[in-house]
Amino acid sequence: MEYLDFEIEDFLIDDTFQQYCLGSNPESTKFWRNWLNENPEKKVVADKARDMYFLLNGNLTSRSYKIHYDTFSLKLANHNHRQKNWFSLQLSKSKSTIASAAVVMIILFAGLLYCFYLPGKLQNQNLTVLSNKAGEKRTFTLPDGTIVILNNDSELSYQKSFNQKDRIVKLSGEAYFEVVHDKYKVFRVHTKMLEIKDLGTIFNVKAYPNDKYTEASLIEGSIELKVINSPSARVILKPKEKILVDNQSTTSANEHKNSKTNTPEAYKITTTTENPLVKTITEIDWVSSRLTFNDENFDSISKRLERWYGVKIIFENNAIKTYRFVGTFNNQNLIEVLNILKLSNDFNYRKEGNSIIIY
Amino acid sequence: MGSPDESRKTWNEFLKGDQQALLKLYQLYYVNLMNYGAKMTNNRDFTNDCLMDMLIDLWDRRESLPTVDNIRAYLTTCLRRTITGKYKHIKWQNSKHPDIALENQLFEAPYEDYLTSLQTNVNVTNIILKGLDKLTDRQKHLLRLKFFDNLNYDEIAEICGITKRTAYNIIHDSLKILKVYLIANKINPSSLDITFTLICVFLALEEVINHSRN
Repeated sequence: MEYLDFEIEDFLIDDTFQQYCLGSNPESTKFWRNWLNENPEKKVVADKARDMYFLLNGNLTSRSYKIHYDTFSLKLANHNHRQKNWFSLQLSKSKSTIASAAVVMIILFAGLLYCFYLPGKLQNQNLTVLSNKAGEKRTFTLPDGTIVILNNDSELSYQKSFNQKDRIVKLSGEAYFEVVHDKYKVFRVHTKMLEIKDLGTIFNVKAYPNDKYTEASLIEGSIELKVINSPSARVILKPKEKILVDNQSTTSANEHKNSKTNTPEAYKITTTTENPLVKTITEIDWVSSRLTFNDENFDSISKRLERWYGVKIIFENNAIKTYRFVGTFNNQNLIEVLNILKLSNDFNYRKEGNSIIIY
Repeated sequence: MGSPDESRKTWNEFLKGDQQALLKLYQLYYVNLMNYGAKMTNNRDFTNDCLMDMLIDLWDRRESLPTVDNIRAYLTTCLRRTITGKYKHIKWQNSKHPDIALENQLFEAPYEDYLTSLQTNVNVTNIILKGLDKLTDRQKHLLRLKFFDNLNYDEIAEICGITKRTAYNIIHDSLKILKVYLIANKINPSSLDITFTLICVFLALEEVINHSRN
């Protein structure tokens, strides 16, 4: 078959090309990647065929496939782990010493397997750390079945004792949680500025150390919050509410709050925003790989672009930092995004290595 | 997807206890089962939950499974059972996925109905609808079997009672018509998101101007 004469329909009808579009077969992916690298003039036609494929298959894209597949392989790894433990429990019921020795061996082996299967680096024996670099997004299932989608440049950690008496995770960065209900073991998220206590809900936490605010948005259920810098305050959020905690606030600033000085409040509560075009909650647009700016200034947008695309953004002209933008992007690359932003406000950019200079 | 031989080989390896084969089954039947589940529930993530539970359950019971002649049909039936079971369970708990309504599977809806219900972008929906309008029912049926149900040409040939070659030709012609329509309307699929975004940006621009006037 002569691939070079291929038109859109010829690409589309090829089974291996469909697998390449979805990313469901490593061999097909490898073959078509190589082929397109060798025949760059065919890339435009192939890209069009790819878009048309996603129209015809019911909107199943390579991104949604990857998220689903990763969730499955992780769930399977967790399942293996759980089964090994159950097996060792059964054995310990028989009282022979050989069995006990075997139990020890199996537990050790299960532990090793556990470490091996879990992505992310293992800092010490008792702590599991899941971390994403800039530009990465992954879905994890915690040992209790809770689903966590971890955004770019974020880290989530928990002790080995997780899910024994309680469930505590530490977060730096942004994550979306779908917590499995267990009224005896409360699920808690600890961040630098905020502690969240929850009983089976869906919520999003954004706690990047270099952002202005730490945010928690509740999608479903109810959560209770403790603001570290004003320990007396207990806040309960209702669905579609969110809390903003100023990362710059200090304990002393809040003690003055009662004496009615002009110090800023440690936190405020607002409602989540709805993306008017796709009717989704803006705060969790990132979960479906949508990059949404809701009247944000360029300074904060640049931080999000840095994490999303794994680049460094430098402003040569500080006035540009105050430009504001509204928009939603689906699966577009950084250059496309910048070109579109450029249409609405007057600025220029150039690429230097892994940095984007804006002027 | 994949050839019938490949599916059979993977299934046998899975029965022997090869976990890689289980992951491979997921890859092979992902499109088919996800779309089957989405027709029932209209919710992708819920469908994936069910798909995962079902495969892990099959894995645990792999030594006592009955002999399976048609792997796809078997998996589809298993998925339908898992979805119905899980749906009842959720109803009972009445929390997590309140938006899922189980569709009655008494009759099949046309291809375009499924595509529209799964597409979030209204512009795209309208274009694909107009494009499909140019095709005959038979052409649409075959496109659906190929892309939405993700069947291979052997299966399509068998279902429609035609040869593989004919099935291939009909699908090829339909794609050509659809493509010509999209290009004639100067609608390039990849530019859709950009057009959509541009509208947002212009709206924003207007807002900024109004803002600065005030």
